[in-house]
Amino acid sequence: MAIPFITCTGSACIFDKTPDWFTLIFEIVVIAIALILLIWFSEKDSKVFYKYFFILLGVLLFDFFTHPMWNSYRLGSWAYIYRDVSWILSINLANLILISTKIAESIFKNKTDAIKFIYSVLFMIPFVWLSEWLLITMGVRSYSPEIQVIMPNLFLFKVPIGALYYIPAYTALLIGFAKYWELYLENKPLVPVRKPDWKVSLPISLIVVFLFEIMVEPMVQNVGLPKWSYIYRDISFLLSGLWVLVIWLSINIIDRKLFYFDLVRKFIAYMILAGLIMLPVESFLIRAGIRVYGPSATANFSGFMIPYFNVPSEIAFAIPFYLALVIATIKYWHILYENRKVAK
Amino acid sequence: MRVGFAFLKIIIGIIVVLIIGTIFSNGYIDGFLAFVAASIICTGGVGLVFWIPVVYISGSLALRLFYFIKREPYPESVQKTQPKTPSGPANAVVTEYILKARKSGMIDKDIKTLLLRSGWSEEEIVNSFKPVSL
Repeated sequence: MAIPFITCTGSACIFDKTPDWFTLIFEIVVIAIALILLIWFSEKDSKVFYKYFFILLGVLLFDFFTHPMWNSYRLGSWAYIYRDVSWILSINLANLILISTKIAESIFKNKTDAIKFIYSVLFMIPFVWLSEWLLITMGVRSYSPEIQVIMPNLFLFKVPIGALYYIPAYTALLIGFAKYWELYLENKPLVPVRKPDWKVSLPISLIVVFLFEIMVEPMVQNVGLPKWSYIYRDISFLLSGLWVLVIWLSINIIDRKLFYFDLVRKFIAYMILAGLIMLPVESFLIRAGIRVYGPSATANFSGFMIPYFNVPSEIAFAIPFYLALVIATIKYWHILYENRKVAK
Repeated sequence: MRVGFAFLKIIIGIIVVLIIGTIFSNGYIDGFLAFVAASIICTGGVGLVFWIPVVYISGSLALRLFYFIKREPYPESVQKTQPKTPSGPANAVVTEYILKARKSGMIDKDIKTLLLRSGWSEEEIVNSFKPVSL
């Protein structure tokens, strides 16, 4: 017996899904590369399948809440998992992350994890650029009107020059998420710190949240805040500062009160605490007319609202997705710092 | 480890439920997701009482099947046979670190120095060494 389902008939679901031969070859190549990489790396790294799973999970989380910013059409109806979020493109990005991290690890074998991280992000720039060029050429990739407005009219291999900011910003988050879980998977002897340094987690939180806020800025407008608080377009340091404060406080409270938790339990605790604070705050800001979601984002809203909070379900789901990437990246860098400090 | 394994069960369970649900929804994952969302949101979250056990049990069964095919003992059944340590929750994480550090070739003296620098008290460190004393 088929479970009754609600058919999506909005513009977010009805788009050209018909692939051409070139796109089909691209899809087969992406899947083949994933398989080859996993088989190849599994000879040296027995946990590569788990690591790849967390890379892919991070990419999917990112794709789920940022997909209104770009369009991914003509990949075939089988290639989509939600709206125009495609598992094939997620695998493609996961492949690139795995390749760049492995290259950085092999070239900079004797360098610190921080150096390897930075080079992984740098290697991602040409890889993603090439991938975007290919997608644009195939007619798969296009950008939302909100993105096109803010991008300068400069292109390099058909890719807007603004990608020079976007690519390192989001790949840093995706690699940060994957690296956090790698710490857990690899069973490295990381010194458990009794009272982590809050003075260090604050600037890390500030950098990560602001980098990300600038990236997702086209999706949502922050209006009605004091003029002097706007630092770039409609990004207000009052609002972004509030997110920094919520995330930073949540991390510090959990680190101090639940210091005996392992990485997994701590991560869940950060998410729950920060999410419980952010959901009502976001609800208040939407109802007060301060947070106004753009047409590309609202076109994807299903109409389901979270009872009591009156927040679209897509926003309610986006909050933990956003937190998962941001918190994992902050904590990864925090753990690296603490361990380096203790070892000195 | 147990929480980590429970987390893995949930992740696997989500994937299993998604696959089965999509098959029952004539291949429309969008439709199945909308159905799940509606069953949770329209009931003010009460629907989770149904979905959480379903996901957990599905993940558990899938993992049991995986270990059965691999002909390896199911991790939780192995854990139950291990003796419980007198270590309290406050130093379990330190004890785990001691084991990992020893495995990586560090000597106890260096481990203790690092733990002291990390803010643990002498008493906490001594207690944490007890369950794994050589």
